[in-house]
Amino acid sequence: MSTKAAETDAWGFPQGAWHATQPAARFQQTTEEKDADRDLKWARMLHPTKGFSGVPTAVLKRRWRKGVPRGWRRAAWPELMDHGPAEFKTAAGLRQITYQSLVNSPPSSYDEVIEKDVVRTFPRHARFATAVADGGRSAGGDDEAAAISSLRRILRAYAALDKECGYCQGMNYVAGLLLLACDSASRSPNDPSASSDAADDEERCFWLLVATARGPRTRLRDLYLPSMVGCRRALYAYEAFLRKLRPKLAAHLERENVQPAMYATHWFVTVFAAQFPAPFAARAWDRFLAEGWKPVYQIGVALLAARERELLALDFEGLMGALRRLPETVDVERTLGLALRLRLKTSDVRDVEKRFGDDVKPQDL
Amino acid sequence: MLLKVVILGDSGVGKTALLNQFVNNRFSTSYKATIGADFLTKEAFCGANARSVAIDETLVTLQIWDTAGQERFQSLGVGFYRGADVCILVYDITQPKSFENLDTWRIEFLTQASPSDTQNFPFVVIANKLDRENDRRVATQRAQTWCAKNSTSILPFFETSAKAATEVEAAFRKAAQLALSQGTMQADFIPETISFRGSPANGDSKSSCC
Repeated sequence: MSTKAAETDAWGFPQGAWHATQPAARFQQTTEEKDADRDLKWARMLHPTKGFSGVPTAVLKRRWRKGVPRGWRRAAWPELMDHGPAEFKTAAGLRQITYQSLVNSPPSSYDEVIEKDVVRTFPRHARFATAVADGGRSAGGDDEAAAISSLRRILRAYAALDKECGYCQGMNYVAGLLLLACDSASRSPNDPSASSDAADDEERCFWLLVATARGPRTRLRDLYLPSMVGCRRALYAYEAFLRKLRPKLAAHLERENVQPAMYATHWFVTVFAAQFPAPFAARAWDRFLAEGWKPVYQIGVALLAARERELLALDFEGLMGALRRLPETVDVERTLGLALRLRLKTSDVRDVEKRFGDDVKPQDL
Repeated sequence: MLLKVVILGDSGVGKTALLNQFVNNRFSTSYKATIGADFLTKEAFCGANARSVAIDETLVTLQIWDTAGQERFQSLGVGFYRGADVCILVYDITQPKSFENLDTWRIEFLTQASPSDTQNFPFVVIANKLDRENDRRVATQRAQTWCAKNSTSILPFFETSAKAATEVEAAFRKAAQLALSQGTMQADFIPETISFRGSPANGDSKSSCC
């Protein structure tokens, strides 16, 4: 009997308690035929050199909201962004900088914490697993899981490129999700982009991380700056939208003294990549890359709204326990469907984020 | 009775592992880096041995807050430090830097939590990863000196291994006991407040509320 018998899902994560919680009907909807049909739709829609040009926005939007097929994320994610990595490099004057030169930068003060986090990113995933924690494998040694080496190089390169930001815990999960989602091994057979290897995947992920960090719509960098201003802004906005969209629930949480910073920090710092199952995180990212922060707030509120009745009956401790277990029990389709029905306008997001700017003292920014 | 415990220390010293060992009696080789905060509770019987006065064992609920180790997470305005009854500071015996940072963590906690009595606020220091004794780079003596310097009374110090379950229970019990005796002492100072509160017989007639 093999010790590697544990079944893995389409992402390579071991089947666990969460998989068992997903309603069977949801799985039946994604039959092979339907998957093949969606795969072809994306193949027709996404041109290898011209991207999505010519595709009506309404069609594209409807499709990314249904979720980019697993095999198309590698090609689609950069194209869904307002400034994909290539345009971004040009706009930011980074064309002369090579990934290799950043990887070969001198050691930085962030190396230590990066080293600790690369082995603590998705430890249950075979590509990120360590045989034994604490020195069981040598860092960077031949026996190290390949994705750990990629993750280390990506995070070090980012810290070298963006010295003011450096490395912030949480970036490890974001880079980890990018590596898993944009892996050429899981690419659709209909994706004609040049066949590539792991090194190429790694470099693509790095530039995607840079573009997401600095892009005006996604602004991930704000989350990671030493002041973590973007994270405070996200928690502030989420709380405002919870009050607006689910006032009864928001009031209950406030009465019980449950603050967003107590349970939702990891949602925003990693845009759901740290604790949530990869199929959920990737769906959230399909919307995040294309639409920015609005869907992130909608999904945040939907996570609670989907469980409103249960949460209203709980006290502080019960609430904290239930909120902590949300990632293990999240119903992907129900939550994302509900998120779409929560009425939030882009101008609401702009207004609340502006109010945050007015509310906090300049020295806190 | 509810006691609020906050665990602080550098990234990777084993805060989550200690907590998991204490609450679930388990150790895993595959912990994920904690982002933001995490919250666990455990019920325990505990005796508050304040001075020589023995107090009966009480059932307490420990509300334990685990935290991200990277300093910048402090800027999130960690509201949950407030109202803490005890703080556990953790370092890794193989990482001198994590020991040197105890000062920063202690000051950071006192600033954010702003307890009424900063002088006597209870801390417990944990030196973790005793299972890696061969890689030790912080001498026990050095830590004991730090503990003596940073407290008016004795600051309890434990060398633990979350992996081997060495002294973990003892350290948390000590923390609970200190928190409990702290609470008891404060109650002794202001008994009137307690007997007045909510008692209609003592209601001030000048009060115009309701």
